[in-house]
Amino acid sequence: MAIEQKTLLIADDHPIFREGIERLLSPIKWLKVIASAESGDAALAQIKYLKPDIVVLDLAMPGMDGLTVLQQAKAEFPELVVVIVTSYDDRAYLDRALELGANAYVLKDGASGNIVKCLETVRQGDIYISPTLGSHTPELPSLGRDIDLLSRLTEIEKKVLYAVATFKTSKEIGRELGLSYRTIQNHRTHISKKLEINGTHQLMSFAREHQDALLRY
Amino acid sequence: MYRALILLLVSLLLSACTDVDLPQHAGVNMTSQFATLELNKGELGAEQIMAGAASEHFVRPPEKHLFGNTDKVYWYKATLPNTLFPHASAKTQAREYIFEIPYPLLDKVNIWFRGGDGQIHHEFLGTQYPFVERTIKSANLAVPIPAMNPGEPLEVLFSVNTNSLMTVAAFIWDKNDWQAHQQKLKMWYGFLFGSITILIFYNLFLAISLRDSSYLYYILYLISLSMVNAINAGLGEQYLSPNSIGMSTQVALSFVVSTTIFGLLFVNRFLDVRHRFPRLWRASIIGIVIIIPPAIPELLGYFNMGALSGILTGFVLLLTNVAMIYYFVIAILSYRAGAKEARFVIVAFSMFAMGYYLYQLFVYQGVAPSILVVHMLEIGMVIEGLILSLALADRFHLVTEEKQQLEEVALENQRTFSKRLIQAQEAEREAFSNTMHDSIGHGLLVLKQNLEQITNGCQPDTSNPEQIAHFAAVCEQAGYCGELLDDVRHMSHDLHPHLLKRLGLKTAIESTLERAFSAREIEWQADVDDLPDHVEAEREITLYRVIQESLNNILKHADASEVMLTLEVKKKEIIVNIKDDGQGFSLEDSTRNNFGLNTMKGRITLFGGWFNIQSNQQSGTHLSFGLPIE
Repeated sequence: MAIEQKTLLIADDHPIFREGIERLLSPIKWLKVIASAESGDAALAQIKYLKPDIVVLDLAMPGMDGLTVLQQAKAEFPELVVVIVTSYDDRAYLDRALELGANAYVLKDGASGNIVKCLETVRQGDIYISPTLGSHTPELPSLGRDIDLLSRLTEIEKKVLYAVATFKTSKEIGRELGLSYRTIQNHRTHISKKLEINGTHQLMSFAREHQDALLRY
Repeated sequence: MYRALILLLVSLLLSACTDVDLPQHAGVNMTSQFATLELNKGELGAEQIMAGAASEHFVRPPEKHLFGNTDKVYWYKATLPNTLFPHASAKTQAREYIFEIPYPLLDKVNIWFRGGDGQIHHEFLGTQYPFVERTIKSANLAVPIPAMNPGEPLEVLFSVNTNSLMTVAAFIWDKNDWQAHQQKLKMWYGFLFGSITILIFYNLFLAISLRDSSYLYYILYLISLSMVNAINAGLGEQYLSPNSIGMSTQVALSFVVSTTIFGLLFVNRFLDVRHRFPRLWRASIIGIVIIIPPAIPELLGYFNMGALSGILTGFVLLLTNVAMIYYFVIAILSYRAGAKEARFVIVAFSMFAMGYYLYQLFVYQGVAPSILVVHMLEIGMVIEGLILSLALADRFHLVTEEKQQLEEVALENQRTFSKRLIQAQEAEREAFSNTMHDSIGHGLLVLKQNLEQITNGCQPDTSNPEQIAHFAAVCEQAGYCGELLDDVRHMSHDLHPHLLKRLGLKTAIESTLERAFSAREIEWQADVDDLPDHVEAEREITLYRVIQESLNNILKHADASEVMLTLEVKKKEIIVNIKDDGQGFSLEDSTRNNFGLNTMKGRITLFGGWFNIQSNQQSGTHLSFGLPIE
């Protein structure tokens, strides 16, 4: 049975790594490595010239960096499947890469075990992310229903949220409201849940944005 | 303020000159009544001459009668008509009239009168006699005229023996006029030396506050010149050495020398002659060196140097005149070379030169001895003093302005230099960071993967403990590689935030917070949404570095459980607030943190921003700073 072969380009400035990937991918029958590039500019040129189906792309490369290559390649070839393989484990890179339309984000530190599975996943049209980075969840709730969200809070929670907006630490809020630090922390966790906010880091942002509304309550 | 002071002094002086203090000379000039004769010392006695000896040799004095520097004795003889003494009476108004020789620096003056009683009255005056023995204790050479018979003339004979270069005049005063005149003279000298004292203290104040030696030279110049004037006015005899003899004439020349020296030093420093006109400067230094020796024998000089003394005096006066010319030449050259302050020197020395040469004219009998001319040197001095003080005050102004400009330039240079330094440092850090990340980091990654490959590829024989130990060791090394890799990545990130360039400041800040606190279970809150899309690269890295440093401080020292960070833009300024609920620290005794804090502050102020930190144990530390954006 003839298998439809996909062409693949590897863009990474480290030869050892390029070879490693090639070796890892060689058992995959449906995949054919057609070229490799050492820099962002070379990668982009080869994408345009060779029109591969899949690109394995490093983020840190001399000259044009991976994110720019991703952006420009996707703009010209929206169908192109881009697999980011990088050593950056920052969430910020992952978010940005997905925003720009990357199909997969694989950490180099684990690539040897994951890359085959990753390519199988993207072949199905799904998105693959290295397990160590966790599952990707969408961004903040949309702002339109924020005011409704506020009405979910109890009086004391609103007071806590307002205090957060005025740049007060949990200890200070506790002193101000005559409550313990632990209680304030619990309130904050509840508030974040009720407002459907991911993690407590976003709470102050939200509170400051709705400071005026909170004052009205 | 200083201008007001100077203006006040000038107006006081002008009013003093015109109306109040300058005394009107009410004495009657008798000089033309006298006949004169030059004799050797001891050739004839006074009584012989009064008896008529050598009377045929007495001649009218020549129009310009100048003498001095000689051992000769000059005799003056006159018979003054009784009409000159309308109030004279043999009994009641014995001391109604006063005889004055208005030049105080004559060495020996002996005066004989034949009054109404037919007796000869002898009085002596001059610097070679002690002041305390004078009948009239005045700086001026004056003696009382004895009682006369009505209708009879007064016979006067006086002899002068002096080393000073001098002319002679004789006046007769009504006693009341004389006393009024003395009172006015006292006021005049009080005003004169009072003004000079004020100027000296004023300039001393400037000298100390500005640390400029030209003021000190000027003060020494003023003091020397005042001393010359005081001695010239006979005040040296009266106040410095009333009991001794001959002090004034010895000291006077030394003060002329010091006046010249300090005048030259002052002008040289004030107009920066050394750098503007090095040749003229060298010439002036030679002048200073050769004018010093004549002052020393004069000062020491109890030995009678005779003609040498005259030569030295002439030499000093010649150099003093050359110095006057030098002042003018230098001032005019400097003014033409763009030194604004030189105009003051020109005006001031013009005033002094006017006074000086008018006075010299009087000494050399070029002009009649009027009261204004007699005091011309003093008037010249005080006007010059005022104008030069004004010049120095103006210099104070100029210096302050110049200093401010220089400081601004220096500050700007320093800023530019610091910015360059920081740029270079950042570039270097970036290079380091990249090397670490790419070479070392990548190497470790490959090494780790290779090690993992080994363990993945084979299964150890579970019955062989040695093989299991090897297997475990390889696994351990792979894990160790992983830890090392994490370290390298962290270091690389701290050295240079690759996120900043690729994903922007906002992401970089959030990521740094995440890295710093999340793993350590420290709660953090950040609101950086306000950050503008484009911030100039230099300011961006500054913002990032200061935030990074303060987060590091919190990690190292604060023991906080919560950290908050906001960033907002207000009035073209990015304001960052960072707060923790940790243990805080005392700003006074925290030497530990000061280096970091100062570095942060320094980086912020380079861009004209502000930096503030509050800390106490109850509420932790609150750091805020503002960074202007264009």
